[in-house]
Amino acid sequence: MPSDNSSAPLPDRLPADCFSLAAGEQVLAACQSDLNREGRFSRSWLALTDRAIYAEPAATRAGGGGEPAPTEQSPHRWSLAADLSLSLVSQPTLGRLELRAGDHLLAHWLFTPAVTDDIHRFKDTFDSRPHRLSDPVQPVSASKPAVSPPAERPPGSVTALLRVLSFAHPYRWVVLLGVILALGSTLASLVPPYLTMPLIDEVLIPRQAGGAVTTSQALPYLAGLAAAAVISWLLGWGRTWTLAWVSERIAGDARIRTYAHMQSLSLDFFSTRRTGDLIARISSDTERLNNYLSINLIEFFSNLLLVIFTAVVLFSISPLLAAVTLVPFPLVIWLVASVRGRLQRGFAHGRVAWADMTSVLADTIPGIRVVKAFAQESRETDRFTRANRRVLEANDRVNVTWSYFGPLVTLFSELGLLVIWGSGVWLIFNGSVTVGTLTAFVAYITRFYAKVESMVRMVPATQRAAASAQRICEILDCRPTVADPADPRPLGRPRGGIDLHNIRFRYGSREVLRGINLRIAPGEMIGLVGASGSGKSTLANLICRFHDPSSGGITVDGINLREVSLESYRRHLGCVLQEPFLFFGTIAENIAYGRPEATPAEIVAAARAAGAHEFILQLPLGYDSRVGERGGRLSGGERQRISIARALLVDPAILILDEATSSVDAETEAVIQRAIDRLVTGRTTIAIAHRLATLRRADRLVVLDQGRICEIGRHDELLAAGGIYARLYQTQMTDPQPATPP
Amino acid sequence: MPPDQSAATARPLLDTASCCFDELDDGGLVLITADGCRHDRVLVVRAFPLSVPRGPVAILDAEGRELLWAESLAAFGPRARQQLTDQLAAGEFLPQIEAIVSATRQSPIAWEVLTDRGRHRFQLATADAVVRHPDGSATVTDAAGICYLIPAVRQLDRRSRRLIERSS
Repeated sequence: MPSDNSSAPLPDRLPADCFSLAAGEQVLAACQSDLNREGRFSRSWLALTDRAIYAEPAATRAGGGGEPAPTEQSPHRWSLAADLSLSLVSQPTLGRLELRAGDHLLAHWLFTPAVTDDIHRFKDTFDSRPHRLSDPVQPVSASKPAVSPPAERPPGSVTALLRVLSFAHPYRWVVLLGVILALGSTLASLVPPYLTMPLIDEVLIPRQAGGAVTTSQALPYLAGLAAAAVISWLLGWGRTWTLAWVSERIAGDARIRTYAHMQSLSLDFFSTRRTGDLIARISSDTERLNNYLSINLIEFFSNLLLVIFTAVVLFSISPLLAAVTLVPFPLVIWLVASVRGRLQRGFAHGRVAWADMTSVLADTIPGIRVVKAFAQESRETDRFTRANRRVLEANDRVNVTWSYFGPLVTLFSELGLLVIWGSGVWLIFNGSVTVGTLTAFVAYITRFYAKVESMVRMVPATQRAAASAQRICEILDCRPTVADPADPRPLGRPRGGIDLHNIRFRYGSREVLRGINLRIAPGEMIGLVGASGSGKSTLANLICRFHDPSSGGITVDGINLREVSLESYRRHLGCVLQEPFLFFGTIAENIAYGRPEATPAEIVAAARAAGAHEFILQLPLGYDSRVGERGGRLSGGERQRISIARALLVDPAILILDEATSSVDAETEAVIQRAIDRLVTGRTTIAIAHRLATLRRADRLVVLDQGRICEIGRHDELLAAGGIYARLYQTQMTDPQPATPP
Repeated sequence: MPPDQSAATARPLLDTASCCFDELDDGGLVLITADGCRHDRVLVVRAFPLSVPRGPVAILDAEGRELLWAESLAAFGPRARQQLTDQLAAGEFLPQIEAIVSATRQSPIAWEVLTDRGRHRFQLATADAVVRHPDGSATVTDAAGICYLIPAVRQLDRRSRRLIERSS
């Protein structure tokens, strides 16, 4: 949403002079609405103090270019009265905050999802105001979003490349060795033309002129030429191998670092990104870096050395001739500089198009059953074809730019040669240089421009690698939104008492949970009931700490979840999800996923308890049978029982069952249900199920509606109460689909 | 803390010492409990045939229900142990590859191998046909789903190892 004002930096705090407050008046909360009443971008401050609500008149900061309009209006002020209320009307793209006195609308403000969190926090502080009047709240800084802001974009992609190159630090001595080898091989390759000079001037020309010269005088020069070639080859080999070794390691480290960092990121990172794009970043972008480092960078470096040395040699032989031959060189440099930016953008587009294409693959291959079931093979092929065409188009655009480089440099080198021959002829006639010198010059200058040409090719290669490096750094710069505290409190095995205190959670501007208060006793089984979208799964995700609540807190045994490390908490957590995921490996490995050190006896015990033991024994290799990516040849119920065994083996203090039986038939459900009944004994359990019969063992049923708890009680109590639960239950009982009555 | 086994199992399992076995003419095995109850054609399986080959053994009845569980064959008397070993040998089919004689270059890759059960030619499975294990062994799966074992890849001859490299 580009707009004249949206790029203006958001001030963190309420400016001190924004409102004229009375002495001792304390700001409790402040936020900025980012739209004016016409829905145009315009920021204006709202502040809540212990005495009043203040609002900047929206018009004063409106207007194009961020220029304050000349009209000076005084801020609005509404004294806090008992009937003053704030309400939020949330719409998909816009939110509206309304201030009322009783039924009378005093004012309203519009805002975009960008500031939703701040506005909500403002309203929450306002709502909790009566209780807190005696206990002044810490002044809240206006902008401290719960979700960490997108990391600062790195200033330039070449910076990203340098950052990736810093992975070379552990290998700096090997790099140094490679550089020395490169230096040596470059010097060795400069020797031959230098030897041809005396060979022509002192042997060949005197001989042709009838002088007394024997072939033996030529031999040392020929031997020197041969030796230089061999030494240059050997050193070049060593250089290439050494630097290839290093670059392989740098790319490998970049891969590991990126992957490990990605593993540390929170779930919402993965839910907003496409699998194919992430795979492309870790696999092909790092490989591209490796190629760049091992081939282009080495080549560039030795070419640079060669160019410099050649220039030095040329000037030492004949400064005049050297000056003449190097005239086209600055032109080449200027050319390079002029198209760099265009190349960089072009290659970045190419990488994005490539990632899009990978995403199509990562999308359709796992979803192949859906594709086939709906006979959409040709459409998916078309989709891939389109993505592929975009790759071609993006590459074509940039290919036009970089491909004209090489021939152009060739043209310059031809011109350079022409200049040499021309000025060489003149200088020889003048007697200021010898034929040998001219020959050496021609040999040097041919090499010189060949190297310049390949150095110029380095420019697109660098931009390409820089685009890849930037895509890697983007992942490295993401911060987990659910982060470990700096100084985590130790958490032993919890007894499992969970306390949810005024939990609210929003996805963007949509409020999914609106103030959940629930106290779960250790060992209690809670069944979460409610229509789709009522917030059941979100609540379970919050208890798993896959997300943090937008406001409110969760404590386990009285310890706030935000104060303990994720790993120490999740170790005591077991999850059985709707879609059991089996990793590639044996059944035993899959069951022991949460505790790889488990003994075979423990694995068997868990499988027995999960009702999986007998079907496993009948597989050809028993517990050593391999299951593939999508669970191999196991049925849905069998996979589910393996995932229950997995949860059982970690012996969790807190168990989350998220629709664990909804994807299997009634008979299998009965088997799984028995397994689950054993699983929940003695653990705090949060179970979500659409089929209410599944929850018959729950100690309490919690009925959610629109993100609020509307009923709590036992099955029969809720039936008797005749509320939402009773209605849901009646619907399911008359519906033939759920087959197992409680 | 592993889950409690006794609570976990629906039916009580039989005691190793109280059972004896009888063989049928066609090689089937009958389990006879202490109280004389006969279970015809029981299935004797190893739970971890690859990772703990001498470890747990289970006996299932003809319907696949578990009757008996033993941590190893050593839990049985000498006679029963022999009967069970024979039964396992008859039921288990895990040829050990001793050498790979030849391998086709193009997919589908076919191997000709020498196994402890003789010379054999088969087509490799399309994905993950050769899986190496941390202990240095490897399992090979063919297109028909039959599993072969290579007890120690490093002890194969040079040629065989090269053919494995090429195919996996």
